[in-house]
Amino acid sequence: MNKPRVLFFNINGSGLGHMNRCLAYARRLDKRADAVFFSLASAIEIIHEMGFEADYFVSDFWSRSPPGAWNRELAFRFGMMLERVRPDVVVFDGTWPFKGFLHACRAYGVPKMVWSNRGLHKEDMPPVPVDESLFDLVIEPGELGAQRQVTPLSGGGVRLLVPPVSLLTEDELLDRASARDALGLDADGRYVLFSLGPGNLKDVSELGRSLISSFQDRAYKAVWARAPISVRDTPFPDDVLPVSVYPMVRYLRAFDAFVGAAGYNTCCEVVQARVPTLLVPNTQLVDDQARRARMVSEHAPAVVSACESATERERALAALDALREEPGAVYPAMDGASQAAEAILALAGGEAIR
Amino acid sequence: MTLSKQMQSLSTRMADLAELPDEALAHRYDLRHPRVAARLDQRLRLWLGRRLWRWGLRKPVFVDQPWHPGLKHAEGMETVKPLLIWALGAEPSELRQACCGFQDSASSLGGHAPVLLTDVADFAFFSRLAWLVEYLPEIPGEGEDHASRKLRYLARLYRGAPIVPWRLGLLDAGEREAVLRDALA
Repeated sequence: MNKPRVLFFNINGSGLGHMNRCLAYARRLDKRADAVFFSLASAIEIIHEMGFEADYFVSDFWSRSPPGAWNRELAFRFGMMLERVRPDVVVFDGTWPFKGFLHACRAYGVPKMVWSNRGLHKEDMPPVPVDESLFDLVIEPGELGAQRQVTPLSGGGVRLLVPPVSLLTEDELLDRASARDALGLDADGRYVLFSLGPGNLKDVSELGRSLISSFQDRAYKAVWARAPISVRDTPFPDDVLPVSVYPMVRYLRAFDAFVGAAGYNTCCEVVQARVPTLLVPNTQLVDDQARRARMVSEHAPAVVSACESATERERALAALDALREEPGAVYPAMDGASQAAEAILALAGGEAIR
Repeated sequence: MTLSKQMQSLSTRMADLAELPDEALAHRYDLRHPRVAARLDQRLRLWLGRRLWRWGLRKPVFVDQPWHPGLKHAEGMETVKPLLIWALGAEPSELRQACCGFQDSASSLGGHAPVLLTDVADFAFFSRLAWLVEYLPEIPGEGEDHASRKLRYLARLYRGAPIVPWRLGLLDAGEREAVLRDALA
């Protein structure tokens, strides 16, 4: 029997979260399906490195084309991909399924459609005017502590809430010594890793500089993660070491401390790696990063601060120094990707999702 | 092959491809016009709307919006024409050098936005160029080869646009800019 074909469509967000989630699902399909990508995120080499084929189309966020022209192009490009891959299931990961995407799916006659739609939006975000009943399965990648839950949708499909979705499983993370070796870091150095986002939507250079300085005052060596989708490099002093590796979580245990924004993936990774973390929520996005950061601090060694003033930074670093992993602490399940992949396979096979 | 012959050959190839429209794709996926309105009243409204538009009594419902080859983070790209850079089969490290060469000659592009046609997946580098990248990968599947079909589609989308080979970016600035001036004239 032929394996089902699954075509993933990931949008381009402020980071690589949408692509990451699709990769997490695709990896958990574990060769039981043929997975191919259509990505609006310009990190195609990462998809290839993970072993998948992919096509790319410029994101509406970056294109100067007006929405009508961009959606029209999207419909043609995605239509071509549909006719080549002939998928049994199309999985869209994004906040808002585009008109061009929906049109292409309708015109082709996609057998089964899945919408992976992360929640925890800010309370003042207007609802997305796309009917969930267009989809056979709506996957909600849950926040920390979320438990599997299946609820029916009006169109006959189901909504599946799953525990947090992480790209790697815990046994794929390197230990401290191996991670340091892989990154070329001194075995006995005191390192802090900064991953404040690509800086495309929000300029993080000033925040980064002030935090680097605060950490260097405490004898940390600073390492700055360069995001693969950054449109410009953030300038830093020569003694800051840039790193470009993916997925960063594999190497996170190399560090004595980690500083990051509170995007969905970062938060999952912090809980997986259990490295003392300073979370600086980005408040300019649609997801409620401040709330998510607070949830992380309940489950992992993490401090939350806006770090806008010198006093706030000092307090945050003092709290970070005081963090200790509690012996015997129980961490929440992070197997949402496996559960989502099983549901996608069940859908492709015509089985009910329970 | 000399550079000028290569440019001529690319130009001819793209022009030939542009003459082969993908009728099935255009018909099936065009989002501009709803081809079949579901209900009778919708069809009547569409018919009436088109009549009124033809008689000049109303604005068109579906305005043709042109495809813009520029990116938002590229400065001075409000109104531009595409300059296609053919980079299929390029060696990645040499392609990086060539792209930097084109960037150095940005002032010679005369309001053209570079559009990179490539099968090289070096997007971490491309992202910093602020150019549109038209990626032409091999995708396993059925029917017409994906890269060939997409190239045919792009040839039509960018019909008439000047095209230069990526190796032009490796030439010294004076030579490169003279070729660009000729190509964009």
